Amino acid sequence: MNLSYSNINLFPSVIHQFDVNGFSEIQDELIDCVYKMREKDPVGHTISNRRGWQSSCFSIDTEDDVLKKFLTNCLAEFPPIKKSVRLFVSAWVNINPPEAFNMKHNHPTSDLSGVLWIKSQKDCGNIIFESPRSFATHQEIECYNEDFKENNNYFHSFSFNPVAGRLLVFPSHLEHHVDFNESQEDRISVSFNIRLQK
Amino acid sequence: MDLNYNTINIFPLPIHVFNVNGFKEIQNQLIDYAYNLKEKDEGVIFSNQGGWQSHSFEVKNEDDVLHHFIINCLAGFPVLDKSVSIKVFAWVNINKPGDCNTKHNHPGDDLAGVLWIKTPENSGDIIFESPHHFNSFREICSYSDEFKKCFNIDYTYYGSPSEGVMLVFPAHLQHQVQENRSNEDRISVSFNIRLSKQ
Repeated sequence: MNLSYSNINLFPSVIHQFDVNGFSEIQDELIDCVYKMREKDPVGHTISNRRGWQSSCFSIDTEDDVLKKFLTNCLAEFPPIKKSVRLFVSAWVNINPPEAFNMKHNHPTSDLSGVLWIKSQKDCGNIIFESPRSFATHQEIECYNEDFKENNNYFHSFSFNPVAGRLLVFPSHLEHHVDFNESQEDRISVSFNIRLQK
Repeated sequence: MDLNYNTINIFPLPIHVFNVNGFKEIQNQLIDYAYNLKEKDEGVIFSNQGGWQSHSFEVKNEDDVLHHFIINCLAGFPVLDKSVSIKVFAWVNINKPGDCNTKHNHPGDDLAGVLWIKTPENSGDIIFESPHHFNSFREICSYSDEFKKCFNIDYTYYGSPSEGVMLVFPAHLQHQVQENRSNEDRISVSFNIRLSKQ
């Protein structure tokens, strides 16, 4: 039989990736800012973080420090979002020392969530997203050939290496976790939630 | 700020599209097959509102024109791993003017599909519903129309039926068929696929 085959991908989970050019020029300043925050609040909060330090949540509306200003500037140009939409961003800082990790979680009551990696090194812990349909599509995914899975990002889970100066934004409902920090240094990031309002 | 922006789409819902070249040569034979089956089979009611749906049958008889056709279509399923075998159960649908199929999915199976045999204009699109409709409501409506169109990100996706085209999609994906607003019957074959890997 003479057949032509194609595939159409519907309803993907969208990961927005921003790479800040010249990040190394501001990196040390951001790292200092983070450690100063920890000095003021050494206990921090425990939510999904295990062995790691997490700051209190803060709004980035007041650009009164280098970190808030940086995040505001990163999100000021969000190409696929309509101009009529306002973003309300609340953020917190994470320091994961060696052996720290984050348990699987999502971010209820927000629309988008994200992470900005400030300091990362090899093996400091990937962020791993879990397919929202892992159970329903188990056998389907197992039965596709590797090329198809690779070309369409169609797996049970999908992993991103942290890169300093890179920011990811993803749907808040998407379950994710952070692997063990198997490096010898701290892994530093800023996480945030976004509420969208038209 | 100098930023590079990229979109990475993960965990899409793949719709496999098979286009049978030279379908016209066998179309009348398949139409006759559907009407002959209707004479012998009082039909069943599931999602079909007003339309006739045959009992389900396993597709395995190479000597039967419809079985042979489906077997040959699915033999060219290029994205399945070579070690995968498939079991197919199918049924025939005749939707008269005014008939439709209510929203449903196909539990217990891995993939589902439809082969359009006779589809006059306005005989009813197939509408897939995003599984993120609730969780990503504000996210989806905040994206620009251009972005949504480019990546098939929306609450629903409309597929216009086309004679000689076969769609295969994840069995869990909710879908419905619009009312047949033409003056003729809309004829299709639906099927479920169970995948097993050796």
